[in-house]
Amino acid sequence: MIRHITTNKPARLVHTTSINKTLRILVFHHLQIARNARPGQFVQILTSIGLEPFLPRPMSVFSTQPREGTFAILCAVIGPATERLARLAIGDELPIIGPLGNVFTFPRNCEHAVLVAGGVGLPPLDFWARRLNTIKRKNPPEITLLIGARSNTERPRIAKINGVRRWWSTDDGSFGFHGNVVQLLQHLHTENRWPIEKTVIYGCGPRPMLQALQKWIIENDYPGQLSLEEMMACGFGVCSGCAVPVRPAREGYEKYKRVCYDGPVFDAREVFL
Amino acid sequence: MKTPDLRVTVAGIALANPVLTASGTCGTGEELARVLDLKKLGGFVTKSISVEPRSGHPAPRLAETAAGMLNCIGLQNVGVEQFIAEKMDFLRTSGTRVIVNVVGRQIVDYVACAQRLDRIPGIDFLELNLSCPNVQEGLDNGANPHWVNQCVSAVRTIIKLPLIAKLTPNTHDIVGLARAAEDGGADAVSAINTLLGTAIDIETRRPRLSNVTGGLSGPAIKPVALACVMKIARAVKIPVIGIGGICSGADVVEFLLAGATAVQIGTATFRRPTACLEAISQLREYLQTHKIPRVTDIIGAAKLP
Repeated sequence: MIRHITTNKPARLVHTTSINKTLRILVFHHLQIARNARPGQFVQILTSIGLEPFLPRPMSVFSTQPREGTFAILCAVIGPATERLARLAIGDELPIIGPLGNVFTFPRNCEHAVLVAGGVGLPPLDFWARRLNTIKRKNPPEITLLIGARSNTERPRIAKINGVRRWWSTDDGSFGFHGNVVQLLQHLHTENRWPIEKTVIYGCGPRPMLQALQKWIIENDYPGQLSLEEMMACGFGVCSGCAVPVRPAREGYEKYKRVCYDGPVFDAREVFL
Repeated sequence: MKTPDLRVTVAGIALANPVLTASGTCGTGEELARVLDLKKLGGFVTKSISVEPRSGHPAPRLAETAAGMLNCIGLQNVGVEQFIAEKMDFLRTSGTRVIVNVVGRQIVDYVACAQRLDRIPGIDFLELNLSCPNVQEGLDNGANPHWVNQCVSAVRTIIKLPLIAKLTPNTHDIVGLARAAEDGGADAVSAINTLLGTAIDIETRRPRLSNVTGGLSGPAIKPVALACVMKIARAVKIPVIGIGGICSGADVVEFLLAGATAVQIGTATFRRPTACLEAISQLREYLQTHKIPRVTDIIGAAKLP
């Protein structure tokens, strides 16, 4: 079965909110993405009709509002492409494709979801926390969202989700736990001891944070899903540019998967980071 | 006016229009089928296939540059046996012409891979990648006319399928390579592959590609490609397939005027997944506007001194 991707509808900017000096929430109108995007997925936005920047940028879907036909991304203004996004006016349209990539999953028998977000890794996990929070069963999952930032001023001030336990860490200790988000996870773990067979740890963030989280997940024997970021050209699986090495590797032949097409969500034990 | 006739013929095989995908930019078909109807293409060119599976280079494999990009994918592919077993069923029923791109380390590898593919139904052409800048042997051999001639004739003598030789621009004499391919029995040549390039991160002082150098593609290389195609088209009798930075119908027209019988579109697909289809519509509009009944009327029709 071929899952078709909408390519001929532009995204129209309908709303923006600054949440700190460098982070902005951009809300776009796009019916198909609003209806179909699931937590973990991303879109490819072409920020310029001209040739600079040449390639589109992959952006995680932060939330969807299917009734309004809109979806949001959380954008850190860090370079030419994101500066262009930040300068968009309401009503501006950009070429976009999506939703792309795979999704986070939560097994039926599980009761605890622990979501570990480092910096710009927050959008897909916040989206996932909201989605998990809508699961209706006798024992709804207990959702814990850990968010790490460098400092209080760089902290992404986003709306709290009722029913989701949220913890903060800052590298300089200016807000919440003093340390990085994996140290916060270890700290909470000593108090909580989530049951291994009923818990999934999810992670998204910068590579060093994911490496630390992967190590922690393996040492503590939890199931885990990590959402990766990699430089991309196409975003839909044709160029093989966003390669990540995966197990099992054998002598003389490394096995690679595409972050855009086989991921971005991978089993925590599958990828070499 | 009637709808212009977009059909072109390469090596006796009719293509619905002159726009093909370029090898290495569209995988093996299934991924691209999610964003466009393959039936509307002139043909589909697969990623390079080798006898043995190749894992490719580590990340980073891509670097964005001015009006283009560098890549050092490293010919990652599943190998010819797995390609035939897992990818051909889809391509066979895709409704478009199928060109399988073949790569090897040595001539014997090209021969073995081509021989295996020659018996497989659903393949219309083989294209020999004699020019990948991302593997050492590709650069060394592909720029040597004698080697190009040897490789093409070795494959030619053992297969029935029409053969396209894809040439490197990383040489002082691409015309010599085209003549060598023609003499070796190629039914067509395609040009150009990517230009060797690199980029350095000025903060870390490290190369931005894992393999240090990579292949430059995109609109940045279009004028170079166009000059190569023009020179080759004047020097050989076999059809030339133009490649290099083509993004629009206007670009297609330029390559056809320069003497290309067909073109391949690659990197533009990364910016706009439907770039090939947009180029086909724009080509049709150009012919309509200029009251040109057949696309073949503009092939080599540039007014050159």
